[in-house]
Amino acid sequence: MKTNITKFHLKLLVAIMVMALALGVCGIVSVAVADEASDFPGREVTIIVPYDAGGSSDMISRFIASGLGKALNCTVLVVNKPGGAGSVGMTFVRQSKADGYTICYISTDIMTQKVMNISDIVPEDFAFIGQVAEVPGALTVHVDSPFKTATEFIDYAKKNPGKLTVAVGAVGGAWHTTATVLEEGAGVKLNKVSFSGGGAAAVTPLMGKHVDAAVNGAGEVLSGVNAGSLKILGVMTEERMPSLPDVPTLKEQGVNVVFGGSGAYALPKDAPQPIVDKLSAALSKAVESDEFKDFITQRGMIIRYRNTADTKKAIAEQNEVFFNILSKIDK
Amino acid sequence: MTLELLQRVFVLDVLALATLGTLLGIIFAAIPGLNAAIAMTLFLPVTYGMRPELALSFLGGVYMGGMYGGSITAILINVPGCVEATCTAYDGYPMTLQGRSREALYYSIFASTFGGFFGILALVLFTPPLASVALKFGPPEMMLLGMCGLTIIGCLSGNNVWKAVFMAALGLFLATVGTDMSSSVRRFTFGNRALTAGLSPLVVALGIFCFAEMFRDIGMRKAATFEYKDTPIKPSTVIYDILVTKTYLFCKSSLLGLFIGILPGIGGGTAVFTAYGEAKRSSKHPETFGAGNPEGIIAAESANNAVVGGALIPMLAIGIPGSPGVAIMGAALTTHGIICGPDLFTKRPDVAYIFMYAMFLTIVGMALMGIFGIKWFSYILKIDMYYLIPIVTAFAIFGAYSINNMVSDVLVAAISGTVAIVLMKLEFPVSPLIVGFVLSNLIEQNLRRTIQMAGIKQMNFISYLLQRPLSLILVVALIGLITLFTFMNPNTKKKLQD
Repeated sequence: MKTNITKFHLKLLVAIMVMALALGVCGIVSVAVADEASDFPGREVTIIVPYDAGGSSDMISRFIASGLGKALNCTVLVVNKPGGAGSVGMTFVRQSKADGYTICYISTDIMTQKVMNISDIVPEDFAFIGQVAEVPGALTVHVDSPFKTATEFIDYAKKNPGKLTVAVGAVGGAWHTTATVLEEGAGVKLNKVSFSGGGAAAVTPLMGKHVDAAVNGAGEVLSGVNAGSLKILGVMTEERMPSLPDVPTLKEQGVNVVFGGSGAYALPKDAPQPIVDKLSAALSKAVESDEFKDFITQRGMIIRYRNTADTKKAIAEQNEVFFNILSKIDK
Repeated sequence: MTLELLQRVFVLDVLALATLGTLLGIIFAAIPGLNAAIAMTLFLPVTYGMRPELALSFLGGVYMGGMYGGSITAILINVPGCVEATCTAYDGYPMTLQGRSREALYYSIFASTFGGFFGILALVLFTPPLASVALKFGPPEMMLLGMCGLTIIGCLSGNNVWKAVFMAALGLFLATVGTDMSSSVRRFTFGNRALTAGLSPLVVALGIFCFAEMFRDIGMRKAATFEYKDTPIKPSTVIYDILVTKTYLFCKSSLLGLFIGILPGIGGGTAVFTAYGEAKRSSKHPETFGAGNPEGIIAAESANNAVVGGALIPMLAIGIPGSPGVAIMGAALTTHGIICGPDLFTKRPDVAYIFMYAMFLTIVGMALMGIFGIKWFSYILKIDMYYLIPIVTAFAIFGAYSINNMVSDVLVAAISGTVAIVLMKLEFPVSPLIVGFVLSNLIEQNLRRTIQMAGIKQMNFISYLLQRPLSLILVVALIGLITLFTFMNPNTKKKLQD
């Protein structure tokens, strides 16, 4: 009996070793093939989304994945690695091989990592492929609010500094920072009440009229607007949003504030330029798909395609704004 | 319209997916460290290819089953599978020790079924008015509600009320570790990056209930130290008891669960604590709570399943998810181009109604699985502990990691488990710590928002609370609860010592 077991174990061991060897050989072969940029992609490409499945980052990436897959003629997978305000997933990609097979979704969170001491990730750790979407900020009130335009709101705030309550997300997050940008841009002092749980959590107190206004993503207030209980005073974009043609921008109402979150893709910083270019070209095709356009419009975002150089520049500029505001906050 | 829709509910794929979802929910919730929200996130990508009503029915099943499953392990081995099952263990496990595990499991499944039904019925009938009531709850009301939940420690106090108060305070304190959301100040992190994100209540609860229980059981041969013999009981007796004899208790607990479920940002944990505390307060025999009183199970289980219907109400009415689980269902809809909220009823009423009817199906499925599963669940008691401990611990380690994908969380769970054992040896009750921990953030953040809002109105904090009608009512309720628990305490002293 005993010898039987040992024999069986020995056989198992041999079988495992043979399989491991076979896998190893395959691996070497595929790596050897993939080393050449001209053959890219030789196997499936993975997009790491550093957030939970179901969030807008995840869904943007799933549409982009199918578009990239068609353009590159390969399988593109989406893998969620949430945690630590995006730092878990971004760290994973930063440490992975810069061969183009591991792509990272990069959100506005990359700009707060270092200055908020969440992690030591900085935009320079990545080679940007391109930006696909912009999440415009919006100033929203309840329909029963006495303010009908952003001008009225800002005028009142100027005369009564600190009297208006504005619901925002957590301090250090994108929408708290956006509200600070609004304060500085319009020269007013607002009373920011932060609701942990991001911009979406700021909608509830606004609907219940517990605050005077909310500063968060236009998409987050969209269902309240459709339901007829919320009204967007102004969006923080250069031009009116295609999905909300009746909603004026803050800029056209004399409040010169243009700000929003961004959704971009990047490789680890040592990625070879030909591979970055190839992915960038594929990305520009992926944003053209109708499903992606429909989705972005419905969620209150805008398609904002930027190529490699422009993305790098835009992120660097926004990073500076975040750094200046956040380094002033007492931590 | 209705008939046509019902025909679309009773088709094979809706039935199959709703049932499969419920089963997955029960399994995930029964495994310590995993819960319904984790299961829903995990299976969300699978639903991207399904029709919207199928995706919703499937995820709804996971959610519904997830609110029940945790009670199985809570009753049988004193390890609540998830936070929502915490209070079920108080009375369920003592019943198991008395050889009444089957009875406890019947109470749990029927209370869950009827509670779930109550919640979904309210969803179908009263969505618009209930959602508008929920919006009246601003920061002051949220804070007061959290404090009402805290009063439950008055009935978990064991032999010394001050020990319970101390533990609750410890829980309130531990939850403040990490980056403060309202100021971004890092509190008690000692420069440690892993602590920046704070301690998750799920991780600490896992440590205290699961790791501690398993560590404590090392050296034991069986989960329950009795010769396994179970008193037979008829399901009809239990149904009669819940629906006829204890109608008031059942309705009150379900109503509490439903309402707390509606309020966005407050989870099933708070619902269960409040319902259990209220059941004990109003009971004629509060001293039997914690020693195997089925009323405790009825209160806890009907409340946590009523939360499901409640949490869906603000989602369908105004597009605000009432809980993380419901937020995932909202995400599933978005991939199909439907924004949750009133849009759903105007653009795709068929999806909304099929989903609501399918939720009743998941309840029926859950009831059948629960009732026929009881015979099988009980086998867990026959497993030798030297198999059970490593299996449960392995799942717990996996669960602790999967909450945030952080190895440091596993360490936090193990440390809290070890500390919990020492505290138990010193006869400190550990449940108040979790109550404090779960409610800490809710109370603290809303307290600070309230102070900020009162400051703008140039009022002092107290008069601001008293001039809002709803918060005035809650202040009165809070004072009432504290007074009642203070008077009740001499009775509680005798019992509850296990």
